[in-house]
Amino acid sequence: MAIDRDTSAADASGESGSEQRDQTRNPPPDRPGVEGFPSRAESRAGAAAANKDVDQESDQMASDSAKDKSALPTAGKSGVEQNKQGGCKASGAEADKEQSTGTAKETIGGKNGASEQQRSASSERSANERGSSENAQDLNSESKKSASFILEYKAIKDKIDPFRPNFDEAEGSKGKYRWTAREGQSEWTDGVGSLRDLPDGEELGERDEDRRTKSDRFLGKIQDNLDDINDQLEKTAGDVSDLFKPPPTGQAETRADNSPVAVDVHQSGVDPGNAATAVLVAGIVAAEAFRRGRDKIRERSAE
Amino acid sequence: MKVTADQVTSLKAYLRGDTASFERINAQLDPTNKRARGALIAAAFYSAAERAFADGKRSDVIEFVGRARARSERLAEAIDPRVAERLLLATFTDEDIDDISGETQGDHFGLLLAGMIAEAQLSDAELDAFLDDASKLADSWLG
Repeated sequence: MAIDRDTSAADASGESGSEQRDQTRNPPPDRPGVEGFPSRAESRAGAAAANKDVDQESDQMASDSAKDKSALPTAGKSGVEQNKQGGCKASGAEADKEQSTGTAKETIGGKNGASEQQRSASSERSANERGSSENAQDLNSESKKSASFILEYKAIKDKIDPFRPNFDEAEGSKGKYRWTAREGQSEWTDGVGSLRDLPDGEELGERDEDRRTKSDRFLGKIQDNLDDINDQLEKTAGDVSDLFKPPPTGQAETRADNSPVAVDVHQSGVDPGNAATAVLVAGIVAAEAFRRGRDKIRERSAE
Repeated sequence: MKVTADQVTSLKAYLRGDTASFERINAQLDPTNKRARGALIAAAFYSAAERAFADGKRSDVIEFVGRARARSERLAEAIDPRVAERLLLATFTDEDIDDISGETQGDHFGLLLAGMIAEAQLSDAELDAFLDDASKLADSWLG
């Protein structure tokens, strides 16, 4: 084991050791421009390396799973063959256990020690699962039967509802997570005391958009008059100086008139409804007068 | 077409009430670039109104116009209260000002802008920053 001379020398002297401790206490740089903060190129290189590691890990996992799948039937097969060779008929669990340990012992000194160990372990697992079965051939036939049953069940299910949704892939495909470097235009936010103080990006965006829309709307109202607006500025230059003088003293008052004021009497016009009513009343009065006059004439003529 | 530094300087002299400087700089301006200074005046008017009436109250607009007209007899005659209120309301409402002529708009933009700047009592640096913002807005309008 190699010893770092600088570290050991620093530990030997007390002051340098305390300085080193102070350095370790300092928080890591978190903003660009701070000493020790990685440059943009370094962060991009780091992101690329992280993506590369993710790819390699996923490839490795895929190859491992493929190996396991290929190893499982082989192990089962070897276990069965060894069972046959050992001629074990009764007490399957114990016999399988012995066989598997024997296999392990045999293969420990072999060339492919690791893969053989894996195979023996998987065969032990499969043998334990079988448990009470007497021989491997019966198990083989049973497994074939169950596989065919599953196949038929799926075929029938597809025939019953061929358009059924595939729930096995309900979540959809998942892409790999990739590290990305920050864009050049992005800005660092200032710190906040609590989570409530965090700015809402949506609100800020709307405000900017709203201001832009308002100013554009105002421009649309005055767009055709920009030349006239320029010309009129010179004409009002003489009046502007009054705005920068001190305002007039005193306060605004409204003069109230205390003298009596003659008010015209309200004259309402002729209402058509009232006119009709008057005509009707006059007609009734005339008809009544006519009737009384006629009755009196008849009475005198009768006398 | 962009807003020039001379145009900004002339508007600054106008907003300081320095009539002599304004007329001197104004005589040197390029007459073919009228539209850019018109946009600068309108953008400054819009920015000042946005700051002065951030609450969006109509009563504030009415009171401001009344104060501006009360400054002098000349201003009372020069500023039409209804036109002035409508022009200010047009900055933050849907007030339609199509029926107001360009000349009338120009008269009132200058006086109302100067009134808002006078009430804000901006320092020299603040006025420079304000005119810089207005110049950028005018440039964005001119494309």
